[in-house]
Amino acid sequence: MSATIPIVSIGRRAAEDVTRARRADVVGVFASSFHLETDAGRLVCIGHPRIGNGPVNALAVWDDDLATCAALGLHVGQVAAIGNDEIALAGGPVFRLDAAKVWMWPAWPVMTSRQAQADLCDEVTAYVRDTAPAEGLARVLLGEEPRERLAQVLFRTAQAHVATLRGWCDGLGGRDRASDAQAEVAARGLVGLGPGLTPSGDDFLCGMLVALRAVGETKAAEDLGFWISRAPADATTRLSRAFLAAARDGEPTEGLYAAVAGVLAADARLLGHGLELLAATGHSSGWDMLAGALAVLARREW
Amino acid sequence: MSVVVNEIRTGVYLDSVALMRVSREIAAREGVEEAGLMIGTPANRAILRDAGVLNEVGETAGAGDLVIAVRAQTAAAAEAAMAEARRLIDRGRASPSGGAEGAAWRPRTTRAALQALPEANLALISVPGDFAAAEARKALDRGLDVMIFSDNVPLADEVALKQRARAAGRIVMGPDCGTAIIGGVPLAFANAVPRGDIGVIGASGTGIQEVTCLVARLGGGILHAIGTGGRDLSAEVGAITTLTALDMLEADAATRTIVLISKPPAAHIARAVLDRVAQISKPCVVCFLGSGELAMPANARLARTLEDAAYLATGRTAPRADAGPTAGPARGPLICGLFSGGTLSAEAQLVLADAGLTLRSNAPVPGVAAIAGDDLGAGHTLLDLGDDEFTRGRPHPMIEPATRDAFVARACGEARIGVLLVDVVLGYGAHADPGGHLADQLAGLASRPIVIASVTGTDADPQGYAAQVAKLAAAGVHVAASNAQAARWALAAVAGLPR
Repeated sequence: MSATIPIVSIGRRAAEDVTRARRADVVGVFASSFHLETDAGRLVCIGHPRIGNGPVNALAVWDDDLATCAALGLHVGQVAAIGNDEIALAGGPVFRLDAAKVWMWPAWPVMTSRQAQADLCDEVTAYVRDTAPAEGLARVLLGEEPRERLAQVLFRTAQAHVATLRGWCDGLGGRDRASDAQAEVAARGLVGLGPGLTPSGDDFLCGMLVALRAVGETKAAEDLGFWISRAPADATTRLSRAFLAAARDGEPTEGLYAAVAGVLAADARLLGHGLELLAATGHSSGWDMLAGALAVLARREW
Repeated sequence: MSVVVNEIRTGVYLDSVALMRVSREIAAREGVEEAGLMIGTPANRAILRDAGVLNEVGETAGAGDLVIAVRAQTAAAAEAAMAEARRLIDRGRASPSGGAEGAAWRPRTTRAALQALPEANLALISVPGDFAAAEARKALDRGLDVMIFSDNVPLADEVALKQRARAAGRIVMGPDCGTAIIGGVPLAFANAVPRGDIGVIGASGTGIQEVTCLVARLGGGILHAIGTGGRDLSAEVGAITTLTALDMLEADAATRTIVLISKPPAAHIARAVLDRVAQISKPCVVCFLGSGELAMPANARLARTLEDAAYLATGRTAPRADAGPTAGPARGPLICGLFSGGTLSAEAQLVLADAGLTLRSNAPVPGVAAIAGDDLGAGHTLLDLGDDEFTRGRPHPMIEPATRDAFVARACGEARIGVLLVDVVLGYGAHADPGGHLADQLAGLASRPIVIASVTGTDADPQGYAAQVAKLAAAGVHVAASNAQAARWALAAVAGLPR
């Protein structure tokens, strides 16, 4: 008899996609999560609560905390039937949706104090210096070049693009066509760049897109999202495309929301919660998102 | 002429750190000039192209593919590297962190592991600290002894687990227990030592490693080395595991001598432990590093250092006066110690402080000043680079010796530092070539002080003790026979210089 596993929380985008789908295919199985591609070509990530809430995430609770998805009988190529509030994997578990709460990020707080925000940004930068892994783009913000040749090529490529985008953010008050054109090249240069199933460059862009919305720079966020959307479909992985699409719409993960909102509201506890969740997001993905958000938030003139 | 070989693997999902590890291992192979493993997005292909490791095969990769790219001096070296990459990837896919579909079955739960191996009697738990206590409870409930490698386990959980284990006649080693040898089998960061009649109980990983390796090099052998976790002898935990381990080693007929290693416990805990030692019919050696003089029971000897403990356990007399290497006077009056092992740092502090030196350390023994920063030139400074403040977000220096590089470079550039004192820790789990790494770095530095090292390891270790010593010696490093001897050599080198 198949195990029945309750989904306790589901992101708004994932909820919509599941509601519209009739079947899906398992396209990736990892330790704490697995990915479904629906018959409409949308990607949903079902995983243990340790992966955190997010727009395309559905959090499920299974009995043995340490059991991996493979141990639950999940494998790539498996077909899922969707309907009647459940996702039933052929020969595998059934995920129940009837008790799932739809997760939405709260409204962005109003910035309380520019000085407090600047101080928190400095603190977060110091935290990144102490804690972020050597891989990924967080170290690019700090200018710490790696030793390996291949990593150096990656670092220098990313550094140039990141510097351009930071300059573009700093000049948002007086944007012109030339700086926009440079920013577009830089943004598209980051798409699909770097290690990971969600490449670091994509994570960095997700952080920027969300932070721009959070500080009220909606037009800039839309433009950046548009430039990214013009990258070829094969510029990055399927999973990363799904996350970028959500970020283009301003939808953060729970960790990214808490970190950005914590800075804006000068709420150290909220910020700490966000940093904790981001640090647990992939190997460098959370840090890369944080780096992207910092590239926006560190500007002093919001 | 270099040879570039690429291979595309479709549907292989490994996390970025696993890919990075494989890249580094391949790139470090003989004859390999460059290697990289990346998802084949156009941006990543451009990076591989710029690095000169992409060929026409890799150019066809897509965003759902993994590109394995190698550039080597010869076709044979490239092919060998590619074969190794395949092996490492497949191993990674079969590992818990690989998490890929189609991987060979591995148990994901204690229950499943016990079904596969019903005769198992010990569970080694290495999960995030928040989950470790729950897993340890499950293992205890299934009748297993437990070794908790995880750190960040709440103190209350540790006490509860240890009480539960003791009541059930079981033992909980840890939390934060990184080293053990049980029935001659090394667990986690341990060394390959011969079996013998000496049993060790230790609250410190590198302390156990140094003592067991010295015992081995002195001709002795180890059957059990039981790690207790760093907090076991605290007032809160009350030495529950230490006392259980004493019970176990007393009952073990093959163990004839027991060595106990710890930082100085609280006075009443020390008394309780020594009272228990007094009841044991076997000779014991007690090394409470940094404690003052303690009255010992008739069957026990007090060891001032780890080196003393090893000599006493093997019935040898420890050397006392070492003139050290004849390297000429040090260029400056200061000693700078850069340690990967916290207990090795503590032992060196004791040796230097006993000789009257005023020291500073981020992990001071009693009597040594604490420093928060890492200003190496302001006095005799001994840093434990494995301490949390230096390892947040970075690998431990025993795993990745490059994390010590910046400190070594700074120490070499500081003219007042006359002696650089370092440890090189070998064994399972440690870096594949820590001695070679240090030797390479020192070779590239324009000026440097006298460098004195000790190597904690044995010839049976994966890195090979003799091979590591030879690499260091070839780089002009003076290699002492023990960590304590290295500290004595450092003393001798700066003796008589104005401070």
